Amino acid sequence: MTFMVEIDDSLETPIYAQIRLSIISGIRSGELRRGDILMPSRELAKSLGINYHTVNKAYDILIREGFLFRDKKKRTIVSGWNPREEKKYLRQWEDLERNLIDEAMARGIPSSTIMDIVRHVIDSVKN
Amino acid sequence: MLGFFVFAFSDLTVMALIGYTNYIMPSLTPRSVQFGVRIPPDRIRDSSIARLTRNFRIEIVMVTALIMIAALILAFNLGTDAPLGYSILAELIAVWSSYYFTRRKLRSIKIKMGWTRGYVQKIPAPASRINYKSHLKIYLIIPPAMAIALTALAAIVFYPLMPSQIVVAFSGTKPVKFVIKSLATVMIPVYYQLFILAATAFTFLIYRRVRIEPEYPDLVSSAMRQLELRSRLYFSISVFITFMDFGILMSGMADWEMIPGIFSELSILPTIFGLIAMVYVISEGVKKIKQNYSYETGAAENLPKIMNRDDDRFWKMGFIYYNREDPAMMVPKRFGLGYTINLGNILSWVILTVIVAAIAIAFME
Repeated sequence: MTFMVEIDDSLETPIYAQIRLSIISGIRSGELRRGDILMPSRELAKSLGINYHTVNKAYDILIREGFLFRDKKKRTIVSGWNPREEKKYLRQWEDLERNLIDEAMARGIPSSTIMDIVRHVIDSVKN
Repeated sequence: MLGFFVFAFSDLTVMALIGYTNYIMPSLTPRSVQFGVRIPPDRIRDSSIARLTRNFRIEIVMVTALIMIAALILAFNLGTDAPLGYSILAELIAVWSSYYFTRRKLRSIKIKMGWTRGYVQKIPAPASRINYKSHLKIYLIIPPAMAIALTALAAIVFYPLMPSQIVVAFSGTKPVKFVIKSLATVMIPVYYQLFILAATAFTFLIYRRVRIEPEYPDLVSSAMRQLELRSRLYFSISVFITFMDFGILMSGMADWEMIPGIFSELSILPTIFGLIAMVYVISEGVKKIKQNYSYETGAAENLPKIMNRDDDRFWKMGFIYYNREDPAMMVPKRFGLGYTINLGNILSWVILTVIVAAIAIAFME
């Protein structure tokens, strides 16, 4: 099956972040599998009608995060998820989550509402 | 007189084919782009689009028939085929006007009825497991290459039988320009054929890099449809230039005085038959593609509220693409097959200047 990247240029979220999220979402849903070769950044940029530096930026971030890697032929390939990175990632994720919950509580949002929102987000991502 | 009938037949066939191609054009364009207007998925089957398509088709049939009849009457009365040539230009202008006004009507309906209201607009693009360059098959070169080889072989085999001077131009059936026979001069038809093949190959190589535009709600299926249509187009053009090469061979045989000079006038006929074959291959291909990659738009209320980005603003008059943000130099045509240039890209202007200069130089010579 062909994986499609989708962007929305009317959003405030930068395009490179949207491409990053789109690829991560593809990996999570199984549309992108370990070993899949992604389009060269120049071609993907032409298909999306955007600057190729934007695609490169998204690819570079995903490479740093361990979702992708570049081989000797300079192809960008899906590496999937490396379990050795999990502990480090979970620590980072907890910090981010702590900041968000802190902020919400400071605004007086009760923890039950926060829990409901988290459950809703998990359900919507799964679906 | 024969020349007149051959040209009349050729011009009328070309006019009929232009009419027919435009008649089927609404079926050839991506479904989310009707008459150059971006349409959300739940409006693809809208009754106003069906009505506009019907009216457009009636206009095309009427315009084609009227211009053909008028051109024929004029040509017979004046005793020259000149009106037939101009009538092709008149038909092209009439067809384009019909498209332009249909597009304007559809766009105003879309804006007035707020078709895009509530829609999330996205730009989708294939990012893996699709290689649209692979749809250009190398074997497509074989038929025209064989026709060229046959022409070269004929030039070599008939060389001893050819006169000492070779005709290179006719006025009617009367030879008016000659060159001295040599292996280089008898190969003139082969040079023409090679030039056509090289120009076609170059166009194909550009086309295979031109993006495809997946459409909501079925991104993969719509992308595959566009790729298959592209394959058909490559194949049909390969068939067309093969027929054209046989026409050149026929004309060459007449120039070498191996067949009567009258065949020089008839040599346009293989090209015309090639055009008919080309249009046939495309229209048959469209039927197959529709069967193989059919996708249901489903009930309007069940569709997710996502559509392709409304990019109408980048298309000036419905056929000129101008988008400075888009790095692509070539983009698929909005209404029609093939590609067009992005005038928002500076490189496109360079290429356009080179092409215009080349045409101007060719005309001056």
